[in-house]
Amino acid sequence: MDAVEIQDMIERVRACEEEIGRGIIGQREVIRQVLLAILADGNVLLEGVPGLGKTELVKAISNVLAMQFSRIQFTPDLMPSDVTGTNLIIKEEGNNVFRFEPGPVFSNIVLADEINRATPKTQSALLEAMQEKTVTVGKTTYELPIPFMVLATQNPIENEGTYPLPEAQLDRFLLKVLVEFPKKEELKAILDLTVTNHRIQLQSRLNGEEIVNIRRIIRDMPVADAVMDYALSIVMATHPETEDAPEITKKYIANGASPRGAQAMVKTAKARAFLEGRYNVSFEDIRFVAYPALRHRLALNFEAISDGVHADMVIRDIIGTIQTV
Amino acid sequence: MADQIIWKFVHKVRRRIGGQVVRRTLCDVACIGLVLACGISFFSLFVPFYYAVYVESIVLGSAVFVGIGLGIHRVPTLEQAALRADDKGYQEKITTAFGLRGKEDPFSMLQKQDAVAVIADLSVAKLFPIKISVQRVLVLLLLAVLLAGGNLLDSPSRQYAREHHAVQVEVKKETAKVEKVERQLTNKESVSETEIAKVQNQLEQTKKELAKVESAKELQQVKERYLKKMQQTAEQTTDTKLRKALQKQAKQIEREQEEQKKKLARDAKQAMEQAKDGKGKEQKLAYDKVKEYAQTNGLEELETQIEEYKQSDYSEADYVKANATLTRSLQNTDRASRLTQKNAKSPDKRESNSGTRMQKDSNSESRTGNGNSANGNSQGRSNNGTGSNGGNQSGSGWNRGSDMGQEGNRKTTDTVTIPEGTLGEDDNLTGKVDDSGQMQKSKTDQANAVAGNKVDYSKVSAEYKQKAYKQVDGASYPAKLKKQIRNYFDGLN
Repeated sequence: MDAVEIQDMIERVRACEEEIGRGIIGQREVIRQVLLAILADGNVLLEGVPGLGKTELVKAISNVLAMQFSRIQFTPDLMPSDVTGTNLIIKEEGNNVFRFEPGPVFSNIVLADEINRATPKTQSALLEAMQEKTVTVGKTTYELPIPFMVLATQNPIENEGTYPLPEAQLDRFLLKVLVEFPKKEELKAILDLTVTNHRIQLQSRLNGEEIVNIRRIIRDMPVADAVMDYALSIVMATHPETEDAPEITKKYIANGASPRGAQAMVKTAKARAFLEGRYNVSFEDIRFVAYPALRHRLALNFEAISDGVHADMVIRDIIGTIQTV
Repeated sequence: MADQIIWKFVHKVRRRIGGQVVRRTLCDVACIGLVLACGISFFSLFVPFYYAVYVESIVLGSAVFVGIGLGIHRVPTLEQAALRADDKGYQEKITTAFGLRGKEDPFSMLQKQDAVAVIADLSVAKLFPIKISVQRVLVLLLLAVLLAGGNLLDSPSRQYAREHHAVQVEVKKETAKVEKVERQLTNKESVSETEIAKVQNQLEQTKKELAKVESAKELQQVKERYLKKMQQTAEQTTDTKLRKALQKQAKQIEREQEEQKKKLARDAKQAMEQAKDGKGKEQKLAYDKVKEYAQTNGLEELETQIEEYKQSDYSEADYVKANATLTRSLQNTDRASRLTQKNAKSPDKRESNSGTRMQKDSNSESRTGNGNSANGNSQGRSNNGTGSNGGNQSGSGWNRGSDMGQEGNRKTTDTVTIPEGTLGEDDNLTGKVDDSGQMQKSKTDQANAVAGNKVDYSKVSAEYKQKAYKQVDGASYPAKLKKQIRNYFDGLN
């Protein structure tokens, strides 16, 4: 590995970002965060109201990355086997034998659309796949293709007929990315693109093998002790039971971020530093990734909900209280 | 190579920041020290506190030391220095590279090269320019000026503190002298224990009196009383060796006192001469010196005049008045001194009880002959106290002698002022030994007299004379001396 090789990788990732940006109007931060999660080997939960292009984004990513893509539309009647696959009885050389038929999860990029509409039983079918990158059917465990990642979407405003993801499952998402409503200019550009015959053909920029290679490089990126301490301080500050927790934590947080939160921050910060063309993680990287890495890991209490306080507000306050120098 | 470059750079940054931190902390703590010192200075303007300037110096010195110490304590570590450098917008490149010292893996090498590339374009001096906070410097200067100004101001409290301190220094010296005498006498093996105990008792009493002294006047009184006690004890004691030792000590004390008085007189005269054409500083010095001289010699008139001289902002008229009084007083002192020397040389004078007493007698003569002698004040006191040997007269004799000395040319219709201070406060040796062998003490012979009252001069002098006659007749003085004493008292009218 040398600087030239790394610079080449960086350029290719940036080209990916540009290419995705051609297919998705606006949403630069969302594209950046999803790309970071891919580079950091994590799963992403995209949250936003319907029609903001979440599914389109995932499709665009799968096109640009030239990886196998599958989509699962989560509904209340979706069964776990519909996700993981099942053993079928087939006739083989005159004998009836069981043969495993892989489900849509056996893909490089899995789009779990409206994941909160499926029952917890089906949601949990994804747990093993997301964390262990394996699927167990009966007594047999199957390896999922590498790279593997789940990009799930959920709608925050419809509560009827939905099953909110349990904390254990939320924790398995590296990042929770909020998809905001586009600005007026962006909306106009979206209309120009979607209500005409004009279509953009996205080019493939990276393949699965290259993604794996980049992930390996990113893992080697050094992190200064002070930066690591900073990340840990932020995570520790989300725990209301700690003595020196900020006031806002004590007031609004019921449960703080898990160790996975710290891992997510550092992993994603490394990916960001890489994408920025640096060989080290900065405080700014940590601050940037703190929001998507921690917002779904903080369990807010009733007081926060009644005061209209959301996780990002708490994270912002916590970051404000921790000194870097 | 990269490691060295980074290490050197971080060290430079640390030195630079450390210097600034020390300077800033020193400045802050010095400000606190100056505020405290100003507080002490202004406190001493209203409350007598002689050591104010010393305490201020200690506070300031401590502030400087604490400031430097605290500053050094707050100098950042190398890691913190690297972070401070990164804080200028270098995205923790220097910190990370500093933490990767010794690591040779490809990514670490790339990172360090990246950091070195950043450092190459950096100047520590530009990155951390020396910032001088104008506000801080102004506050510091203002406080320093305030402190200097505060210390230059004079006030009655400060004046009192100075005077009181001078007295206390003198008291210490006197106490040391008394202790020395005590040691010398105690070590004399040939002297009986009873005699030693008596003397020790007196010396202890003197030390107690010295400890209570608050003013130059009181000190002078105690010193004179001490001298007188020594002389009286020398006369009373049957132990020849002790007598000689006491007489020797008394002479020495007397000599020292004379020397001190002469020195004070010289200083006062010199200061007044300088003040004639001088400015505020010389005038103030003249005031201090003359006041000290007046207080030490109990010259109330001179003291009043020199106070008036100061009150009138050192006016010419008051200067002339005070200078005239001072000159007159000095002339009298000089004359008295000459007479003392003359009498000391006279063989028939030396025949009398003691050399010390003879000197006093001679002074009495001169005072009587010269009339209005301010210096005769103390001379008269010594004479009456020492020479009377007649119980209560010793204590009261001082007071009366004092006034008579000052106002020797009064008519019989004049009144005599009883000096300030409650009579009977002081223990005065009567010169008589009681049954237990202890020296009798008396508070006063006019217990009903109130300080500041006036009594008829003729009554005082008549009583005084009568008592003196009675004492002289009953004593075994040579006939010639008895006549001399009678003449003296006759001359008082």
